[in-house]
Amino acid sequence: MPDCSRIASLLEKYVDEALSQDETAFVKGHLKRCRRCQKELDELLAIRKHLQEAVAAEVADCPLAKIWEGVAERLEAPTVRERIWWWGKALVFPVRPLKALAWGAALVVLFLVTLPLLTAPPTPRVVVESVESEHPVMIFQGEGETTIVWLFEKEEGKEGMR
Amino acid sequence: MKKLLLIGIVSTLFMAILSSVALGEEVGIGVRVILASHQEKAPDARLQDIQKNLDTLNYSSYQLLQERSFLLAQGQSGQLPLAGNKELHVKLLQEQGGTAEIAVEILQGGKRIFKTTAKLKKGGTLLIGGPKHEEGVLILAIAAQAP
Amino acid sequence: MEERELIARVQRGEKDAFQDLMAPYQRKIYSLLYGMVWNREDALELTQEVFAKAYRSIKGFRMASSFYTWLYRIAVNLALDFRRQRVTNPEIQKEVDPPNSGGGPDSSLLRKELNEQIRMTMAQLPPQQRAVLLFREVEGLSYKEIAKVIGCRLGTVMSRLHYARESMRRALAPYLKGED
Repeated sequence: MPDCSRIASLLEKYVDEALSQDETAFVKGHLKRCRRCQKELDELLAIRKHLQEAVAAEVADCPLAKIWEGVAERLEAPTVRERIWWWGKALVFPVRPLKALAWGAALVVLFLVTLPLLTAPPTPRVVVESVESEHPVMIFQGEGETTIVWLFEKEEGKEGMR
Repeated sequence: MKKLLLIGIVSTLFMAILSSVALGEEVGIGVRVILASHQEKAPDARLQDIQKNLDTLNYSSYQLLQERSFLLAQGQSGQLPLAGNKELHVKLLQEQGGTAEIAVEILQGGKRIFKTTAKLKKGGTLLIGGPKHEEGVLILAIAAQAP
Repeated sequence: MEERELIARVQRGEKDAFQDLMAPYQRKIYSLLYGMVWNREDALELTQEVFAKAYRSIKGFRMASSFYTWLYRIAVNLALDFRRQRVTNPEIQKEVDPPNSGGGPDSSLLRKELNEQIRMTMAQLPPQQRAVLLFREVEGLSYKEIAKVIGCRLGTVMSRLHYARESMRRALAPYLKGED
């Protein structure tokens, strides 16, 4: 049926109740006549049902009381900001052993931070070496080992930058 | 033992030279021409493998318009017509150690409006985007493929 | 007590009100995080992190936006960070190995096998697709709500959902056939 190809692109939205009234009526009408599309719908609903059941089965024994024990422990432990403040105080406050420890730790952190600068960085998978363009261009890194070069096309008849 | 070690080292060197020569022969460059827009269309399953790359651009819909693979030797180039009286040229400048250095040009009405040179390793994708087309923009996804 | 009143009390420093505020969300957050990591202990640890972070940052919450959207956003970001740190965790790998069941006609065995297949497939989905699938299928959020929580466009939500469903459909095909 020629409608089936259109239904295929609407079925997920139908299952998610994201169609307009007209589209919903169209899909419903087609499903009454078409076993193949009805089967596709049943599969989508079955996936939902099985996923819900799989999660629910594991979550049924959720140890709610344990959650709060852990939360209380975390709230009592100092935050990163508090730790930084304590170390900062230790660096200037005149208590010798504490000061020595704080300076020692600061030096270790400094060393670890500068170490990557001294070692060769990994070579990226895409390196843009040169660009010449009639239009303004922007180059940036995207997700997943991607380098993006974007042309900002001028509207016709207007002068652009080089 | 020493003999075996020597044989092993020589074989490894030999294979390395052989493979680098083999890789230097021809390189597959894949080009996909994609229409990106803010219309809400069903996702194009043919772009699933680079969906993560495209997501950076924040368009709602990506549709594959054309796909071509060029097998290029050093110095060779491939051409692909684009919408809007444009043409894409891809040239392999050199290949070394699994990295392909390419030059990509976009011409409009026979005149060059854009050129870039880039080094691509297998697995990396270069996206060139921005030329307007219909209700969206064109994005060229260029990747070096395994020989 | 109304949620907004509870939020205001916690923002003023009343720790006791926090547990009442979180009560309706405990199981939901745990369920979402379990679906992201498929490991009970990790889900528990993450839930505790979410609640602790929510308590620490609640003063920054503006009443104009929805509390559950704000809370879900904390949860999904922590889950995604957790996955990035634990990509090659051997424990997780072990958890998702399918069981060596005989695959007999017994329905409880089949159920167990199906659950394991779901776990394995979910673990292999890209984290962003997993999150969108869980929000839609398990938490019942609309596309718009998911887009707000995850911070992406509607089209991105729909495409991630589509690919996630396709992966599930392929993986569960043998189990879905018998449901005709």
